[in-house]
Amino acid sequence: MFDNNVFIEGTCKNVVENGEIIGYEMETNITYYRGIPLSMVNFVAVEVDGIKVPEEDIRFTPDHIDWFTLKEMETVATIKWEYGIPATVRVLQKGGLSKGSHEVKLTVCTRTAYIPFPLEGNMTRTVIIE
Amino acid sequence: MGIKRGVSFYSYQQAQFFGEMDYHDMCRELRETLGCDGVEIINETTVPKYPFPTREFLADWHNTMARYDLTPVALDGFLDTLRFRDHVMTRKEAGELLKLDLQLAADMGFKHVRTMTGLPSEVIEWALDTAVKLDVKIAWEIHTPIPIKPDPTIQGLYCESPGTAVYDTVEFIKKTGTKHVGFVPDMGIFTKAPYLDVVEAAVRHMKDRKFAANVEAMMKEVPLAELGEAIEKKYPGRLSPQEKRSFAWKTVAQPEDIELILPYICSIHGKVHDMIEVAPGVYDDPSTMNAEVIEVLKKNNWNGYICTEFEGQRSRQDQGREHLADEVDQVRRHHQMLKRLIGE
Repeated sequence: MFDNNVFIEGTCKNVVENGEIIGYEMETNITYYRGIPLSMVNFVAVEVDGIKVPEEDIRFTPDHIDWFTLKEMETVATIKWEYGIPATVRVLQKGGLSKGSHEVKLTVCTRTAYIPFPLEGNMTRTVIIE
Repeated sequence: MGIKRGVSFYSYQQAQFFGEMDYHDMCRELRETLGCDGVEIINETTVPKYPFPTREFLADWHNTMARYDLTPVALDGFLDTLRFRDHVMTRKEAGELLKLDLQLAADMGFKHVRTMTGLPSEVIEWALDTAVKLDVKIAWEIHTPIPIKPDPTIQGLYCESPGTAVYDTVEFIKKTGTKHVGFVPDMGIFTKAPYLDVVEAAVRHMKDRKFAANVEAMMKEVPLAELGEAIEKKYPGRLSPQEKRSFAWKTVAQPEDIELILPYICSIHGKVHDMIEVAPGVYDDPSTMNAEVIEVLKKNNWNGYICTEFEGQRSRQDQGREHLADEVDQVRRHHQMLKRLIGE
């Protein structure tokens, strides 16, 4: 549910740290009606202009305090992604997204109660980097 | 005494998602507009840092209940059996999680935890001492396709023996004599037609727009309950299997079946997808036997809460914000109907 909101509009931007662009990030809302522990995020995938980002370059945080790789998230059964609170998906890539227009696709797949298979929410947005 | 009205905050999930309402706003709506006092929540939607909220949150919760003179009725708990990657949650682990929900319910003033449908007796047994100690009941939701009367032919995704799950739990209650186990029947087991919003979504998604227009024309002539069959008769084989499912419906329990479990009902989910205006200013739910069920409850002098559970959000979420369900209005319409049927 709420697939139209899995990729929050206007949130995709390059990330600058110590004067260098270390990658880019975007915000996502949970596509469910409850908060869940991070271990229940089955996977996150990012695709830019049709090319899939390597899984190991993705970082996820529910609060900008604790950051996790997707592999690490598999065992995080206590830290929560709260309902209606945007989480951040960051892709580590030196130089980030180049100037101009990009088609960015975000997929967030969650394990939910009652349903014996994970549910995917995905959305593509046109992102302009100035 | 008698039938009392409440709301499950599940009903306002979309408003919460978009930041339009938080739980204080929901509580105010109950008191100031709906004039009811029963509150049901989804644990991980209302309680930040679940299952260990801050003392600040708990104080604010109790203050809000006091401010609007509300009664915590049911805390909805879940058992995420796929929570761990190296194993499926065991029944004892599920029992431990249930204990956390029972403790949270006690801390927040709830009288029972609504657990997932078809909760196995082993899980109940594991947590029962805690339920007794805290005086909070364990009540599993009777959700379609689970019937009240035993019917072993019923199969579904929800539990191992859905057809006899209610019977098995009643046997457990009788055998142990426990006063801390019961049910939350969902009105969705008493359907009398398909859900209108689901039908409308199916028509909206039909690729053949001419066929869709024909179906829309039929909807004005044919009763909702007979629509699927009428389409099949007039246009054989035209509905895809998925479309057929949207028009299909099944009554899994008769209103009088509820008498079989009356002493064990902790509260009822007033499931609703679509409230329609049947006369100027008069609203009704075309898909559910509300009048018939409430009649049985009244006849038996049942005391308890029916908590509205509006579930018509999802079928509309393929569209823009302007076409999404108006949850607040739908719940208001549902309460207008409840008041009429209860005789308030």
